[in-house]
Amino acid sequence: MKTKAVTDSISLEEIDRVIHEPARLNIMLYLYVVEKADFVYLVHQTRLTRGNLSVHLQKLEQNGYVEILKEFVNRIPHTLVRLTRRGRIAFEQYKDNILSVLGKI
Amino acid sequence: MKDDPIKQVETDVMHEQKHRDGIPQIAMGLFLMFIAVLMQQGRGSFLGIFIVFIPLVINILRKRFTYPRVGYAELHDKAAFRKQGLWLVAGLLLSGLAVMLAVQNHLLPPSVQVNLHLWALAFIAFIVLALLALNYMRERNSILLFYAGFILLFALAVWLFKLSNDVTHLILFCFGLLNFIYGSTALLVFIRKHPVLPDED
Repeated sequence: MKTKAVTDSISLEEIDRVIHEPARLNIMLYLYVVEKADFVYLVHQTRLTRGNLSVHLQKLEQNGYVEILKEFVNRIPHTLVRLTRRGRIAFEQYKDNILSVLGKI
Repeated sequence: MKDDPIKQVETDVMHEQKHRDGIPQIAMGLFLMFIAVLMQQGRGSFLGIFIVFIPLVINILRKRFTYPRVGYAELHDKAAFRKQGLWLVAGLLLSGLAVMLAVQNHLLPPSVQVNLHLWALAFIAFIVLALLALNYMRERNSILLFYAGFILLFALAVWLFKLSNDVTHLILFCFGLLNFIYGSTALLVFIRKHPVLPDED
């Protein structure tokens, strides 16, 4: 059976569940293509609420995938987010793994 | 695999960050109108200096209108560095040209002067075309091709029909004005479409 063959040849355990969640995948994708981005940019691109975005960013930060830089511009808090080296590698690994799985279905 | 979706997102992000707000067109329009007026007044030799101010004007306008609405994203260092390098080279080449024109106009006797005006235009057209081509290869934005087409036709018209200085400057001014109007309209649409997001808590 085809499904069996897929699960035999590729371990689905290798799919990174932190990145696999759609909102986080979206965040990772937009951070992957830029050097760094601010909070407003991520809200705008991902269409997530500020609260949701904060929670997902915290999760990514806990896993060492993103670095959150807080600063003040004219006394207004400004948050910049960038993908860490680990996050970049994890994203590329995730992409390879998922393509590999989908390619064999 | 047909198209790399990540590459596509990268191109979209670049387009969104650089062209959606119409600000580059406003800056380009202002620059063209400004140099047309300067050249008409016989001060064309200063124009090389002003090209380096275009990114500055774009940055000021973006901080005021774009970033509070759709946020700020910094493109990768390599790309940004290459772009700054391109502007620097363009600025240096045009400054060199400005010095040549200044030397000819102010230091050489009229009997020795050659018509540097046409050469200057061809040189500027070449530099701007090179910048547009390099940017198009990266951004795939069709408005850059439109600019390139206009500049090519404009340069050819000046050479082939030996357009007078007045006509040349008028065309340049009108193209600048068109750019300015187009950019301003795009900016107004952008501002209406994207309200300012509230500050972070």
